[in-house]
Amino acid sequence: MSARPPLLSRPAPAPDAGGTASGGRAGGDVWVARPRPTPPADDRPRVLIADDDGVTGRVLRHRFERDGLAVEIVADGIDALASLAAFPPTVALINVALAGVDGFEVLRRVRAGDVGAPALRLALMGWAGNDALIVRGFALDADDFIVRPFSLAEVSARIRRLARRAPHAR
Amino acid sequence: MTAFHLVLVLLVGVTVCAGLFAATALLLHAWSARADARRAARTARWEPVLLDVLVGEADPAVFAEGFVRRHHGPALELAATYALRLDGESLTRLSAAMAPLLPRARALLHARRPDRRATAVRLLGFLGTDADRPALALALSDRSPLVAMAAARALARTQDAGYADALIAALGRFETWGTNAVASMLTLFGLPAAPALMRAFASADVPSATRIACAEALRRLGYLPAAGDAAAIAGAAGGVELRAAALRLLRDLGGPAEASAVRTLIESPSDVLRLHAVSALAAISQDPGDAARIEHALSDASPWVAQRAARGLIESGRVASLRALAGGAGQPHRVARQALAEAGLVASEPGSPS
Repeated sequence: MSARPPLLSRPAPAPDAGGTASGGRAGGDVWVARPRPTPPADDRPRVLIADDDGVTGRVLRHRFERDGLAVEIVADGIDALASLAAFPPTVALINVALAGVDGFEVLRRVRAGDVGAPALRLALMGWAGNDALIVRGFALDADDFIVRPFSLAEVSARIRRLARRAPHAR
Repeated sequence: MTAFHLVLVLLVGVTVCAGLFAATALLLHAWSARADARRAARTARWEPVLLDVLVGEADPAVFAEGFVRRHHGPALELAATYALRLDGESLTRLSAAMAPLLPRARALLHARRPDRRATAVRLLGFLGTDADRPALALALSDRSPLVAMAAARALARTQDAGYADALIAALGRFETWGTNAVASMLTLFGLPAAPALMRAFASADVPSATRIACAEALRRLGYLPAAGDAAAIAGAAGGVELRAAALRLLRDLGGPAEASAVRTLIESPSDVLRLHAVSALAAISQDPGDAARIEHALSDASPWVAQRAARGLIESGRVASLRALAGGAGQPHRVARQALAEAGLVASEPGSPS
């Protein structure tokens, strides 16, 4: 990570400091976020996250963007299928329990050549405690399976590895 | 007072009550909307900084200092939504960032309202330290089931198997939870909890629902030494559900040594036991005699048992014998054809290789 100004400071700078989380004195809290750098456009590897959990999506986006990846988030399987064609991603990270078309079905359609590139690097994601989901995912030729709860550093390493190994990786 | 006046008074009374009710509803709605807006604004203000803490771009030690005292509770709540989804170094960073606010959660453990006590238990489960675990274990016996349930989940998330016995002993309070939910929770402890799960599974003094959940947890953990007890429980007199749970465990973790216990249940008068016995026997025995028993189950009076027998033959690699049966017209032949078709294994023509 390049040298950057400290994120937090006390006391808060002026409210017009330009931070995306310009707390200032608003609400009584005293910390303030620094301005965000604009990401370069846009030959970055692309990651599609398909997950109906907004918190997971936001935290993964934050991590991946700092890894130099372009991120698109969709909330269901139908939108995931559409984004596989329109985005199109270098790596897809798909929740197995999506509404409508679940992650397994998205994976099956990708590998069958119905949507996106059949050789797309695709990782599934699911909650811990049900190994059968992991076994099923790999049986359908998933490239990886991310188990929640997860360590951001580990997920980041796994996704960057898939991005490096993607066909035509940029 | 005439009847007319009485009706008039009643109407006025009803109108006034309705008006008060409507006004109260509007006030509550406005209050709720304002609270939601405040919460959304707080989240928008805090979340970017919290995310930077998680990815290592902000100092966790500084984060909590930025909150005024009245925001300690909401800040902990926000952090808990992230803690639920995180593990490893991410969770460590988050816990470190929120540690200065935890006294607020510890104080809430003694609140009068059960929902506040449950919140405190949840927050300490997500963000607390080892020192908070005895308090979580104590909360298992809280007079409120809400608090006890939160404590059970919080303790399981700590993955400290030292509390597995305490949690298993409290499971009787959670009768509304399904077996899968309880088993998932127990599985969070990991293999170090297997001895405690084994003790509960094998004990006739433990409620049946708890023993079933322990069997399911042992199965999911892949704890092979549980197979011996499972064989004994499957073969003993007792509740069908418990014996079926033992057979499910044997299907995944058993071996030829347990086949004799399973074999006897192929002839059980219970459909449920026959179904699970067929499934288990197909998985754990390569004995030709057992293969014949499973083929015989294709004619079982229960269609579920017959179909399970056919799937068992496929899963154990006995596709050839199933294909050989697929040509006839009776029940076993129909079942064989259906199973082959469902598995995408179209029945071959006579004489072709399987």
